[in-house]
Amino acid sequence: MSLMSIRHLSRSFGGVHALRDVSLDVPEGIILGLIGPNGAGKTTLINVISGLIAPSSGNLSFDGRDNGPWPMARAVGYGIARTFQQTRVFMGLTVRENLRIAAEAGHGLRQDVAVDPGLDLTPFYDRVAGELPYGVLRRLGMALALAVGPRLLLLDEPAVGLTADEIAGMGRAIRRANDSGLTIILVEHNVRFLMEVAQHVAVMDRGQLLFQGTPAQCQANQAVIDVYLGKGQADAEH
Amino acid sequence: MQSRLRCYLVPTAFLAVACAATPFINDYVRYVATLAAIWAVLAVSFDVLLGYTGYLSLAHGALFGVGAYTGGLLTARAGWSFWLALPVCGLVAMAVGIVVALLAFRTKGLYFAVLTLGIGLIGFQMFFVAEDWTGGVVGFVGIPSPPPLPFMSLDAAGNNLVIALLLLWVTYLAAGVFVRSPMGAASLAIREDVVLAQALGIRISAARLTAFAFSAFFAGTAGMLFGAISNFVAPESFAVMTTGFQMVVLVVVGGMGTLWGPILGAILLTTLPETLRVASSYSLLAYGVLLLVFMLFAPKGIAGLLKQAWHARRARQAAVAAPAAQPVTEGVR
Repeated sequence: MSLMSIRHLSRSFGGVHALRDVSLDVPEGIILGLIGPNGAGKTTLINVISGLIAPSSGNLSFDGRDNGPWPMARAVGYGIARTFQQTRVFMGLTVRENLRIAAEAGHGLRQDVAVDPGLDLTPFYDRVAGELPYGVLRRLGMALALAVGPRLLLLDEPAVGLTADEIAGMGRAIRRANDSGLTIILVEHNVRFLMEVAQHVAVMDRGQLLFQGTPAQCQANQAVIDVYLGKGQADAEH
Repeated sequence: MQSRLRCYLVPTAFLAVACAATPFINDYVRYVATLAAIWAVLAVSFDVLLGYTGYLSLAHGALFGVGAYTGGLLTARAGWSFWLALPVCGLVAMAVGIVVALLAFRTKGLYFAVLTLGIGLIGFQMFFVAEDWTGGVVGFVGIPSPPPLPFMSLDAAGNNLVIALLLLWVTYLAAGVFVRSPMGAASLAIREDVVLAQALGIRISAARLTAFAFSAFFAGTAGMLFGAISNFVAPESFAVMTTGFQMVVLVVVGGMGTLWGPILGAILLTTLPETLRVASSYSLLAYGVLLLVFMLFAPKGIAGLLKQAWHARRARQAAVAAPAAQPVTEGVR
């Protein structure tokens, strides 16, 4: 049963078609990996789903309710939470205050929220976020999204800029969140990381949905290889 | 739980000490202390808006005036009792404040400040123009003094001071309840990052409107008390460049977003010119310089400096007590 359905979604910025007629079903309880080259429209899709921007056309439905596109406030009300590509946390506040704000904002969405779901933030609770290293801020950004107790979590490049150890930790945290029943859409440039974590992969290119399938199917798909390595170069490089 | 209790006990202890000291100080000190307490009410409630939501309003001098004139009308003309008029003046200022907020929150940042500046100027002019209600340029005369408190045999100056301290106590406790509530958490989130706050599902407009209404309510009560202790109000008391600006200075110098810092700011900036006998024409200049110095060298205000000193002392003590137990991290700033 699909938690969210996207139908014929398009969005252009001036003359640039960031999304062209994208349709996608997100089954409940999966980790859906979303990959594609720069400018493929991944972040635009996340922005539309989370209500940060409105699509030019198309519609969305969440949990059987056929009423998208929706503004951000309603998206959060349904239980759609997100992180941002550029780390976004409350920089002037302590980690504890950050988490308290998120937990109070999400109050009533879900009660069984772990405040620190394997993100190792406890040693930093009384530190001001602005003083913390980048890796910790990435984890805090994810912890904020988790603390509101969402049903669908949109992660926009959670592993970007992290060390190998930190990426492994992030992967564990994502899987743990998924094990607790959370549906996740993961946008990621790090293809190896994404293939390890995601159960289902969607590939975008120039605003269009190119391919959907399992990670194994994706890696074997010629169209995907062409997009990633350029036509005719796949053989030369391997 | 204990720290929650302390939030109520500490200000109450301060109130008790200040009230107990009242009979032993002379009338001049009482008068200055009363003014400081009224300014502290303004500063604490203004901090809820400026320090917690990050919106700089320059309309609050006019809201202070709304409270003062409403107080005059209700007590001197309509014959209401002081104790009934005090909260009603707060409510009237709050109602005006909500209208101002609904207009001003359509903008943000600099535009918000400029828009509220315009509203502050209009309000100031209205106090001149609406002569039938305000007495215009002559001022509103004959506002009755606050009635003597029961169980305390004090003269007028002492009575005024204790009432001002009570109002400050109520304001401080109410501000504490507000900032510890989910609404206060939401305000902080708005100040720090509006987009993230929205993404977390915080209702931006509700939280900042509540903060604005809160600050307007207490600005109104402070204005009412100011009129009552002075027995007289004139438009000059509510000008943007004096009152509206001064509220900003008190909060910034005291320490934004701390609630107790602005009280220190109010005490310092009310008593210093008095004790130094600085001509009042220089006080704006002094405020301007102070604002500049604090913004450049101590943007967290007196409260920030005190906190820093306290943390440094604690860190030194910890280092002496257990040098081996130091965490690997670089410790407190």
